[in-house]
Amino acid sequence: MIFDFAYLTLVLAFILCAFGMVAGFWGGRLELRQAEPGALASGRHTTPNEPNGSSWGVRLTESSFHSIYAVCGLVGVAAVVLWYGLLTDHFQIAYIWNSSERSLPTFYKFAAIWGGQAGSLLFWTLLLSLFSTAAAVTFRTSQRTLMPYVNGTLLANLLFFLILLVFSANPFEQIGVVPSDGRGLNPLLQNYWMVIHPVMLYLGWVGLSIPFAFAVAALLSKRLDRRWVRTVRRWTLIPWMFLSAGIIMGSQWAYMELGWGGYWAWDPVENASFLPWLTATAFLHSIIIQEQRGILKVWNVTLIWLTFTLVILGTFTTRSGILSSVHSFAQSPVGPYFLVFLAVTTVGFLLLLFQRLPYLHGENAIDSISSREGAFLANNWLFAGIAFVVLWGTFYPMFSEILTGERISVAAPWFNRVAGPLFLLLFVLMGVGPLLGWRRTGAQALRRQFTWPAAVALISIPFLLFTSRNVFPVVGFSVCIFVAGTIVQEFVRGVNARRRSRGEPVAGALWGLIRRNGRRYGGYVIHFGIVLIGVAIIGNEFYQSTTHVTLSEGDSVELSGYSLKYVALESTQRSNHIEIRANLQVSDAETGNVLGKIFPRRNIYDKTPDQPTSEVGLRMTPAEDVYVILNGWEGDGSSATFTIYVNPLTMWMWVGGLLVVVGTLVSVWPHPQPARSPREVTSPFPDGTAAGQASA
Amino acid sequence: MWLAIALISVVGIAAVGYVILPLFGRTRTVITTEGEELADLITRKEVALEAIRELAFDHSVGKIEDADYERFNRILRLRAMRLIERIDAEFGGTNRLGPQAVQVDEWLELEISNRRRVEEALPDEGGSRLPEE
Repeated sequence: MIFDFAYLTLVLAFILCAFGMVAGFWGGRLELRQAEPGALASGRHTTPNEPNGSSWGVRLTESSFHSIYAVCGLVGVAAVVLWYGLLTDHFQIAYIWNSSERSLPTFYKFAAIWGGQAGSLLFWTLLLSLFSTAAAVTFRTSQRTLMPYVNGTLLANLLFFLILLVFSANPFEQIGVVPSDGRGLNPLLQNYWMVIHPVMLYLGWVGLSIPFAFAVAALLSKRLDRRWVRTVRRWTLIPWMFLSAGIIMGSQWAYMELGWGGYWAWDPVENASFLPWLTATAFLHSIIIQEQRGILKVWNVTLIWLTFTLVILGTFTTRSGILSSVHSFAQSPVGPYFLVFLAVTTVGFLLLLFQRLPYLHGENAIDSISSREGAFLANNWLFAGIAFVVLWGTFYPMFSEILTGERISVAAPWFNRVAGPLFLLLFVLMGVGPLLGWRRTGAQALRRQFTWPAAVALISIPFLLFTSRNVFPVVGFSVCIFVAGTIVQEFVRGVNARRRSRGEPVAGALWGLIRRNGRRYGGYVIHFGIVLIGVAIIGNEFYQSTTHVTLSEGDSVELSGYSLKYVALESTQRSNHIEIRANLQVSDAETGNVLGKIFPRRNIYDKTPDQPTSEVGLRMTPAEDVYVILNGWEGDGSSATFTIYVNPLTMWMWVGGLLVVVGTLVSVWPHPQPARSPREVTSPFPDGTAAGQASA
Repeated sequence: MWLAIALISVVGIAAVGYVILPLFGRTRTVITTEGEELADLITRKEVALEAIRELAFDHSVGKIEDADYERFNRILRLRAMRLIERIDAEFGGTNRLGPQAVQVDEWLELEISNRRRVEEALPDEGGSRLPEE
């Protein structure tokens, strides 16, 4: 009964969503017409009094707000029911039967909601409704012109996912019998990184719908001034942070679970998460230019539309099975729905954009190329270039099949060869940009800014040549050193400037600097995190060493200064699987000092014994990881086969990821604002709302 | 199944009622052209004030040369003053400010110092207070 009820709540949410969407767009249109100059002779209070004191535009808009809240509540009820079903083993529900089992740990039962197609779509819808509600509550009064259209756009987005849930991927579909047990969760998903990583990605993907909705609203309402970009800055940064964390956690999962020694394979689904990250990062930089200089208006709305489109395209890629991937856990007939949605949003947005082009003229021109806006512009071109390369490589198998009838895939080396140099240029710009001031940086200032970071980078080159004869890592590391140097210089000069002007101690000056300029210095922390990720990538890509070996008990193997001795094979029965782990002792090959133990594992799940999963054994240090995969063993474990990697500097990838999150939090942390003068708090709205609450 | 239908009927009536309630209710929030223009002007003024602050900071750390600083500072201050004038003239004249009415350039300096005071959380010395405060 409860599952029928839950399905009907989705049907009800679908109906209210459709109504709310129409109410939002229609209400916005009516309100805008009434607010247009000359709509009323007075021009001041433009809303005619209806018999009960309110215009239809306002009423419809209010109704769209109520629709968002109601849809959120109804979808929330449905999600809670599905969680209840998962936690209490209601295997008569097809989704639960397919995604869970009695012996599955509770932790994974809870996470099973995003482990399959229908559940993950419900989870996506839940997050989208929560984001929509948060935006509606935050901007209900302060962005009154935009909000009806924002509501309409968000509800249209929600409507699409509710259509999927109601008509194509019902999470409450029953199988007619009550099986004694479920088929179990995909073994690859039974990993703690896999529990948190999809949630982060979903928060990122779904959250990026909010800035897109504001861009559509700005176009529809013709309010294309700087306010909408100021409004969406935080609402883009936060999903961007989640997306970044999700990508890093996904890499961590691939590193620990897939057992091939790396963390990024340019797999189509990895690329699907990376593409919107690239365009969202470009957007975050280019809205600063629009905010400061009133330019790049067309580019900004295009970028956020591209980001939204790439999110939907990525979801389509993951779920349609159009591209084969190690991540394609959920394939179903929802693909055509996504394709139609993509086509509708693309055509609709482009038509709207062309119609609004006359309102999107820049207010200024770029004064000089040696300015921060010049560097940001170049960085945008590079982000767009990389996004194009990744998109092309990802969909090349599909294009080649359409054009030649033969499916040709491009592998990681192609991506590294083509995107690598672009990333290197991007890193250079990441160092150059912060050294430039807005508008123009003269030759003398350029010399003053670049001398130290460039000198440090150049001095490092001879030392780097000792580590490798290959020019690529040497250039890569020296660029990383240059960027890190610019960041350190920025902090040092900022602290010194404050100390000079205020006589503060170093710690106080540093605190004041970050507190007063959180946006700028949070950005530097993010850049430093990206530098560390770059260092880890170069280390892993160019300095990795590996061996494949079969060892008898007591035998050792040496690799990159480590000696690994195979001690024994152990077996442990867990709730839903048998864990077979090898015990290896790691020592310094030169001195013989024991450094620790490593336990690579194989998990053989009761439901899928033919799909054993690999859990790598790892010894992680700041310098390098010793990474061991248990490939197989003889009978009772008298001998076992291993693949061993020594991965230099990999730990810095996770540290860098953490810094990206910390830097984003510093950037979005509320900045102290001066109180407004009374004339500015004179409210344009009768309920006394301040007009200038632009960036919530 | 019948129980589910009965239950969803109750929830449905409540939800639909909640959604359509504003269509029959009394709502006071309205939008005015004036409000939108004021919000736009205030945003532009805030951006100009932030740009002045950023420029001064960039100059203090050596990113902007003195001549460029003088030129851009003059342009930005002029822009901010024009915006203050427009806000003042169109959305609340100086007669609102009481007896302490001041010139626009003084207003700008007060606004800049007021922002700095709040951002730095400096003790209030009284000298940089806007007349209305």
